[in-house]
Amino acid sequence: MEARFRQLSIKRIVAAFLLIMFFFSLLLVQLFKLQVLSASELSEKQSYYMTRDMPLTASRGDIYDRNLNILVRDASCSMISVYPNSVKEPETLSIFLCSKLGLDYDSVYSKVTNTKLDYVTIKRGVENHIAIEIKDEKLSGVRITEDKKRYYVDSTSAAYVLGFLGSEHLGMYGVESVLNSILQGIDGRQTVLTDSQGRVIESENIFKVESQPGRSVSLTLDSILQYYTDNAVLEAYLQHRPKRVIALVSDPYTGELLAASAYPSYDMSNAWNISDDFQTAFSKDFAGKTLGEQQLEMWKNPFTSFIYEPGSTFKTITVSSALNEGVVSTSSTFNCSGSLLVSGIRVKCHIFPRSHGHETLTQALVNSCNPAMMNIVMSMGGERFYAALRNYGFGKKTGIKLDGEENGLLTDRSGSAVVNYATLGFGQGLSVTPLQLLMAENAAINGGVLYEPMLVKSEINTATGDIIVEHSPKVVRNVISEAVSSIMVSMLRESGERTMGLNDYKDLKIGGKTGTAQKIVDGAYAQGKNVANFYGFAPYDDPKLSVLVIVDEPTGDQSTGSMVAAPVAAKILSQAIGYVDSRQSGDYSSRPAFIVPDMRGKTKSEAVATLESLGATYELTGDHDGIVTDQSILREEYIPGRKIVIDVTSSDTNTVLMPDLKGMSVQQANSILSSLGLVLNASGGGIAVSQSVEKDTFVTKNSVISVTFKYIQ
Amino acid sequence: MRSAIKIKSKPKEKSDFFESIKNIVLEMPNQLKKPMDKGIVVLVLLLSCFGLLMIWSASMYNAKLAFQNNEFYFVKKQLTFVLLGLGLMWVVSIVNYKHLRRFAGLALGISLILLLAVMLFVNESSHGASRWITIGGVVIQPAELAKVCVLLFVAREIEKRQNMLSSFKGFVILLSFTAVFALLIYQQPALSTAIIVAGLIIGMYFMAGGSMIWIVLMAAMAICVVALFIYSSPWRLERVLAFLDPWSDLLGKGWQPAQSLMALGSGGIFGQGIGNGKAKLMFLPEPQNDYIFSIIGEEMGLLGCVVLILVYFLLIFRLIRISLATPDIFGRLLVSGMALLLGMQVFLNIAVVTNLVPPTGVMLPFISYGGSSLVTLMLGIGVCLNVSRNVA
Repeated sequence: MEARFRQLSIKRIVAAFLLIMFFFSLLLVQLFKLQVLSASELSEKQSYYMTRDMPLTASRGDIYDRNLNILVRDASCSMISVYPNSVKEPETLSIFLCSKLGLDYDSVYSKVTNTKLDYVTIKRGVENHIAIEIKDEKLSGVRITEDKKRYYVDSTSAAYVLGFLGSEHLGMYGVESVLNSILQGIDGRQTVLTDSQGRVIESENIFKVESQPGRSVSLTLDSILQYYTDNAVLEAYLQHRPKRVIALVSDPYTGELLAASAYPSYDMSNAWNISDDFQTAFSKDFAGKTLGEQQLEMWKNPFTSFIYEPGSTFKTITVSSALNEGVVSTSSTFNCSGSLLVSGIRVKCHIFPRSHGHETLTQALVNSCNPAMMNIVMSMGGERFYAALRNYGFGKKTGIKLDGEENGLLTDRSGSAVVNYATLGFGQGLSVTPLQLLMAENAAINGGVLYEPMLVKSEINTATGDIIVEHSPKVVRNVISEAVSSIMVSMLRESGERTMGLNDYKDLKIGGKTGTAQKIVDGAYAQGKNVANFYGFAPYDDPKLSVLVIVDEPTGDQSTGSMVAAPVAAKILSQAIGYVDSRQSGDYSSRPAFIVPDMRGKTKSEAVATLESLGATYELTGDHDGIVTDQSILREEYIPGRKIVIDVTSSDTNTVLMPDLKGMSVQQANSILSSLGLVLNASGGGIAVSQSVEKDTFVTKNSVISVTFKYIQ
Repeated sequence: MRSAIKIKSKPKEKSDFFESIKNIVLEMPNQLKKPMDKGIVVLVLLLSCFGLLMIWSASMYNAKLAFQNNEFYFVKKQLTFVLLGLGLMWVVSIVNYKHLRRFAGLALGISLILLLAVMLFVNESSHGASRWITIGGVVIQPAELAKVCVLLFVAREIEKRQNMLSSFKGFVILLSFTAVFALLIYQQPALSTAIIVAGLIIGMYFMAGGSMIWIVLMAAMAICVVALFIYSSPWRLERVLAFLDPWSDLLGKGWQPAQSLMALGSGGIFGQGIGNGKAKLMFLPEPQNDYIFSIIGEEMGLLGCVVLILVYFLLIFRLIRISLATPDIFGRLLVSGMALLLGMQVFLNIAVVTNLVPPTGVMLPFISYGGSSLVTLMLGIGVCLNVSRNVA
């Protein structure tokens, strides 16, 4: 019995052992399947789940002025993105992100829960200190990467030249848009290993294509001249309350644009906001338009797309063309009877019912005599006259590196009745863009060379500062002979000397021609709506700078080119000529290098970065980690050797700079104030018209700001 | 265990117990002189040291995050268990196994009390199950202890009732005994441990030479009960469905099996190297526990897996060899039962990890992180070592 059981037991134990071995061999088969046969498939799947693909934003090139003073630079900030598949609590995360980033809950929640996507970008251009607060919260599924933001040394100067970026860090307007491909660089990509919560394992870098930084560009603008121009333009705007003031400063011998200013304009760092002045000036145009349409109107580049009838400033073109064609000479004389019958229609001179009587060619130009100009056009004949205008570049884009350029309006009517084109002789019946007129007038005085307006001086390697591409002035064609051009200089000298608006600036030796044109509204010349403009250059014995000033719809007693536009040009030239002389003579020491930007409200590090990039001598006082509350030099010329004292006070967590709320809706004002940690106390409805704390003053957080809103018809 | 015996002994058995303990202690020098199977010692040492290495690799990422950058947190704890287990194993190896018959009932009693205590008093749970109990500051898992107690008890019962081995009465006793233990463990819930305990009892009955009719009947019943359990609980059913196609519910129940398969697959033939695995980056939850084999497969490849299975094979082989040489049925069942227990655990663990069977929590012997399992298994091996001393 015992032995039998023992034998059976031993057999059974052996059987059990064999059974175990059988099961073990199943394991080996399965392992072979997984680790050999399906290995690559499974391994690929694993890397799919364990790696994240993310872009490496290329740093965008900076924008400098002609003397390599910084105008726009790329500043570091953060991008917040989310891996929807790693998010544990979408509600909590959405609420948190909304509170930190000032976003709308629904849109954030839908992004956070969109598990179809590997990752979604929540917000770009987030300030680094906010990003750090988000990082410290250690929420699963959130990824913070470096991003870039545009920083403007002066965000209100030359906005129409520089332009601004859209949400994807791509240029939307101005040089930023036209030169986007140069500035942008090429984004890189990287694949990183992460844990299941989306935390990046930094030590493992699976795949990386470095981004290629964009090139920087140096513009032909001179920030000092730009500053003078901005000031003169703003002053003119405040004095005459027109719809708009435009001033362009160029080098007549190269076509380089040295300054380009327009007011009202927009703030590049807050380009979506329509300023009060813009709102007021364009109230008629804005009526019945959506905010988006109003923004489009505001962003339109006036230098390339403001087309207007130039009026008498155009007479320079008429006279020079006729001289060049030999139709008239300096000894030609004209007889003005106050009006001229053309094709049976009586066209009046501007001084009708008075008349200029007997006059020489020079006198006709200085008198700005309309009948004389029509006589010139008629003796040239339509075809030759139009050919001359086309030769001057009218009716065709100049080719400047700016957005939205228009052709102007030049319809060849040489085959029709003479009256249809004779008026072109005094600048009526055609439309020009400011840049077209500036370049044509430059050609008339510079020896007859029509230049393409130049805005980009060079392309620069952002990292090394080496110049990669150097642009040189581009000649379009010779328009008139040198001899005729020098006649034009002397004629315009006399015209300038007899321009009333320039009486105070005799010693500047400004030559030029004024013009006052009635605006066409609904197909007819509108009474009281003028465009006053003036083209001038100085000094007339050796022109260094030329200026075109356009004042659109000036209000008040004065509305002529002579009294409204010419003084603006004179003001610019009075400062600019001395500056240019010192630049050319190489005497930099006594001249300003740049304009000290307004850094108030910026963090200390931002201010330091700006000052360093400008190469300024500065001193910091106060707290080390606060914001700039005051500066010893503000929006003034910086003279090398002077020291800028920057007050850095209080911590940025407690004080904020009060924004300008005027023109905002209750919702807009509320969102801006709450993002700053301020409390809105609203009264009334409609648009904000007043606020209890003035803009640009410092307020402690959680203060209550009373804002009055009113409905405006 | 011996101290527990002293405390729990009842007065009427007192003299008997003291007699046995006295004998055990007196025989110790003699037992020590007899040679034991050193191969088994080497294999167990190899496995537990390899376990320490893999626990370090598998747990370091989580440990760094959870315990102030201390990547050795789990390894250090496991090391104390390894040292304790090895010490106990050596002590037990010089306890003449023949005297253990005396303590089989007591061991079973303690294990039953602990299982009942878990059922009745433990509210705190981990992963929705109450499997742990704290005694004197030491957290133990009674179900793990129960395995060796059952082994000891069943070996003695079968020896005592050899004549009943093929009878209906014997079958009923076996059935009810199996049912009580399996149900107690199942309700924790720890279905896999219940299956292993039931499998161990039935397997030992088989190896003792029990009637095939009852064995087949029992096995059939056990399978039906398990199927019923799975079917009656929705989350178990989900697990089974996830097992059938882990990729269909990747973010839910399929997560673990899918992550495990991807880890094994990415290991390929030669592995990614120790420490280089990626599944432990929070993709496999608690990779130092039940899924440690995935990490081994990922880091050491098919080669490492085959070598490891070979080591288990050698260990089981040596145990079987000892059992075959053991003259008494008690000793023979102790050692072969231990071999069966190891075999079942290794198979089930790796089968889960390789998605051969639905996911269920079984520890990889001597390697998975956890004190109760390790110490209990080493106690069992200690007993086998003593058998080996008395066989040669």
